[in-house]
Amino acid sequence: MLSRTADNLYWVSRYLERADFLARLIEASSRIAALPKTYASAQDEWQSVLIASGADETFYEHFPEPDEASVIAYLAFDARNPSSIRNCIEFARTNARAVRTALTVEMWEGINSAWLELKKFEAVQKELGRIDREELIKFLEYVKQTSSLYDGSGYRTMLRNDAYYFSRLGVYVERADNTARVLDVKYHVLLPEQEAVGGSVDYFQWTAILRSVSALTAYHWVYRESIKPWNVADLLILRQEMPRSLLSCCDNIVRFLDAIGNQYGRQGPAQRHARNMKRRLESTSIKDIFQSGLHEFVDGFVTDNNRLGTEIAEQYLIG
Amino acid sequence: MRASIQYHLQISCAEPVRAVNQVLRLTPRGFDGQEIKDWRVDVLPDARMRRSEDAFGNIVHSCCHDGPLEQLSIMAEGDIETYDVAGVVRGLPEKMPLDVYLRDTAATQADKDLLAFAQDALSGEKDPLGRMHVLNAALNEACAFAPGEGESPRPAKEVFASRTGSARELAQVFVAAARGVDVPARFISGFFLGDEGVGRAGAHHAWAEVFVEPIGWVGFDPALGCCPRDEYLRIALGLDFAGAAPRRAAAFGYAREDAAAVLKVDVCRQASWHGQQ
Amino acid sequence: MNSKKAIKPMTLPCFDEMTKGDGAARALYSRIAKWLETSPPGLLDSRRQQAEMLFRRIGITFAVYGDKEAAERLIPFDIIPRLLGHDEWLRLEAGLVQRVKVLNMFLTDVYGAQEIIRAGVIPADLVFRNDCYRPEMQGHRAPHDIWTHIAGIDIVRVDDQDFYVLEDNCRTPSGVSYMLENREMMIRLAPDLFAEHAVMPVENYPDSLLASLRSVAPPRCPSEPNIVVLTPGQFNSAYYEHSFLADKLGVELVEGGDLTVKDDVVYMRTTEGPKRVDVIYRRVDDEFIDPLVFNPDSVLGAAGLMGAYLSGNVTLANAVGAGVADDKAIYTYMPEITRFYLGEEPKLKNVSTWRCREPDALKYVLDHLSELVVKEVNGSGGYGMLVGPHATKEQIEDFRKKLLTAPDNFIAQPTLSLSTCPTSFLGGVAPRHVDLRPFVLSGSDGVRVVPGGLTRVALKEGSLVVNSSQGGGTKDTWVLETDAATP
Repeated sequence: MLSRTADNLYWVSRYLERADFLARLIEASSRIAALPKTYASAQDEWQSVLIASGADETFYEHFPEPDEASVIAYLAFDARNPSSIRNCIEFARTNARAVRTALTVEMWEGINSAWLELKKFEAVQKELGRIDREELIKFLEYVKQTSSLYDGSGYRTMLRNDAYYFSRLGVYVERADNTARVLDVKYHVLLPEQEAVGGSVDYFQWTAILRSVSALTAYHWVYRESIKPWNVADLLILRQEMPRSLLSCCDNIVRFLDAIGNQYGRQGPAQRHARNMKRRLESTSIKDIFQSGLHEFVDGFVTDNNRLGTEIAEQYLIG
Repeated sequence: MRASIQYHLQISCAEPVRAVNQVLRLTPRGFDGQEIKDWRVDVLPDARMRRSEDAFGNIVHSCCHDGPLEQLSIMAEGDIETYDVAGVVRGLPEKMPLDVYLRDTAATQADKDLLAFAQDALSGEKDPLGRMHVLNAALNEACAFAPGEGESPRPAKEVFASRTGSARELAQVFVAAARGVDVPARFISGFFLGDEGVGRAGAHHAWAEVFVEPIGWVGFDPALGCCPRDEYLRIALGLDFAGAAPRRAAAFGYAREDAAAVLKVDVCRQASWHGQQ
Repeated sequence: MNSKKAIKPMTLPCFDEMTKGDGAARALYSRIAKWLETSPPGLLDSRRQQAEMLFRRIGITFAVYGDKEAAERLIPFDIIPRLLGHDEWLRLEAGLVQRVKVLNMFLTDVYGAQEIIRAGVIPADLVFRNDCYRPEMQGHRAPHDIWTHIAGIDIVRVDDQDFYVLEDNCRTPSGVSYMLENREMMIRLAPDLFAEHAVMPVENYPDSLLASLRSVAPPRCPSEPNIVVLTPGQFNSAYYEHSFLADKLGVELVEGGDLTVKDDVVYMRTTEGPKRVDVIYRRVDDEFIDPLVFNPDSVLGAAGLMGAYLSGNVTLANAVGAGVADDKAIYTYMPEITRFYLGEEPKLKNVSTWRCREPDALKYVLDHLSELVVKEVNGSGGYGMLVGPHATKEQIEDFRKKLLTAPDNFIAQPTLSLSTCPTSFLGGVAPRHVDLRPFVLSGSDGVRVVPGGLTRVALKEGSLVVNSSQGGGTKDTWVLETDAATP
């Protein structure tokens, strides 16, 4: 297939996955922000949301300081934020339109309808001139549906060939990045010493983390005990059965890179690098990670994952 | 004039480029006014050079380089002999319908000012050849010759409005003016082998040719205000500079690359070689 | 009778394709007339809304240059089909085949021996000073002497006899995706009506196109040539069509950046490395296909593409320089050109035309501006055009000045009373002017025409401008297996 086609498919997935993540992040953070002060140290909540979404650098070019209204507006609707939900959907649609012939009709119609829907939300938003909570909930719901629909119709209708593999690859590279970023901004509430000090206050932070990667229910099914920070970290990093864990993402990345390598009859640096990432996760335990430093570990993973993105691009997407 | 010519074009890219495609019009053809005894075009790093002939009869070399590439050298060299034929170009295969040379191109469009200037200059002269001499002298008089050449020459009307230009630019002005008064005209790129005037300013030179009944194609150099003599090595022709350019290239890379060109020409004058001069 | 559906008489007397002078429907349209009469009020409106929703969801949109607000607009679709009888179609088809043969012969000659010019049939300057003539192609033979592989010939009618050619499109005629999608829409929205008429299919167009493109592959290429569609990208007004065609052909849709040329061979960048390209159905204009030969700033083509093309390693469809044949000034000579090459009379008529470059004609045109349609020789899409009877005084005076400054750039034609077809819009049906763009394919194995084409309709009452950029709409065109709809 054309390198550009692969590139576009990969990025459609990444943008939609990112939009989905942002929607969950906003939801989770709104809950924390709404808690009484005694339950959560909410002061820097919006700052950490900015960091987790990767928008902290550009935000301050437009706003003096982060508060609920400005951060949500910036992450959800702001065209100036390259990673706003609005832009993610717009870019996803632009990328999809450029490779329409590589998408199934259902996938294209899904994303095109979503884009048309976005215009309506934007019109409402413009008219209101502020974030309306009810409208926001509807919007976030729509965003999650959009990526589920694209994901699902791809799963149901795409031929299982390189086009599908590149499309899935985008999902997992982006998802790994998102999970890692949440861990990165919240690592301090997961550290053991915090537990002793924080007690119940951090409980809501932990649930927020789980919520942002839609793992709150999964947690109870996996651990069958009350929420403990090391379990949260374990779930998000090392649990194979948890679809947004780093290990699960790596597992899928390796799987789809292998599928591509097999189809083309040739492996390359991307495959080797991905296998290394997976191996490192498999051979460690949450205890090791806490011992050698959660922050350093997550930082290292983000860097590694970025490098993987570059390697995939060089090996396949630039041509 | 007999001469050994070495031409060297050094391209340096600010950042390495992924690939470069180029076409070179650096091979002169023989005609009554020049004889090409031996000629080579070469590039460094090595690449396969494909030689072809374009629709105007120019000899074109094309080549592709895969990057990363920061430096590129182009060499043309050979032995030639030129004769003073008073600018008259005979003995070349003419493949193009004459009307083509009346086409306007973006670079050779005459505006009102240039047209008025040409008509005014020509008002007293009836003889077709005489008219072109008058036009050449008038342009040479009106526009200052500024040796040296930028990346791509400005369009004729802009050059004329500024009353100053490089050899390429002035040649395009002449072409525009001639076509403006319905005389078929073309752009010529070549080397100036003499040491006066342009010699110091760079190897490339450019002039124009017009079709004058019943003689045929005659060269005019508005930059130096004369007709080409044996100090002119004629290389390529086109409707404008772009069509006759010594080198056209396109690079692929992450970013647009600026090719900084270094031009160097060594003209060996060997008058003693041969009795005539 | 539902008063809403009363058919408004046109002010200009013109040929209505459905209704005879006495108000009765022609045999061809008898079923359509009945359908219009019997369908419940509001049906057409709801069908139209349905069509619009479907079109928007599929994303069949076009971009209007310089119209930022409506960057992606729909071309209005009219649910009432336009009909052609079997015999009418055969006559038209024969004319189209002849026309396109002549266009290809003309191009071969112009870029080759130039006999038609030497014979004095066409003035040399009209060809060689033409903007669309490419000197770079002089002396070059297009593979199989085919220059315009895909031609769109714009046809109008003024009576039930003759077909007139309004314009030839030899470069990158667009609209064929609408022809195909309109048919799908009709089958979906008016299945009964469709089933009752034995309509000749158009759905084989992509197959015919693919066969034509394969037939012109370079001789040296492997048995399965790699064919691609080259698009300027998704911001081009016809991008939908480009992707639609690539999809239907089952070939890659490439952009300039996807192509590289090495040693006169064209490759596309794929995830498995470079892959050789043999035939390019390009929807990028000549000026942009190769920065080494044409516009040096273009990124829509590929550096070295012309070199590969001229050395015969890749076929471009349509050929570079084909535009000189669809020039409006050359158009006026088509009857003479046909006689010159074929020794036969043209089967399709030309609209009589005044060439403003000729002083007598110019004088006539200037004296009759308010009656004539004046067109810029190189204009397209209905821009740069004066429709005398509908123009204001200022517009006419404006054009008079333009004509006097550069008469060579203009031709003028009488205002034809184009035929009309019943057309529906909110709350009614009325006759509107139509034209027809059939698509003619030329390959080394012959000329193919799918029965029908794109019918364009001027939605504004009395308007003669059918271009989509100027508020025109489209209809499905039904070529029937018979001459009359069986009752």
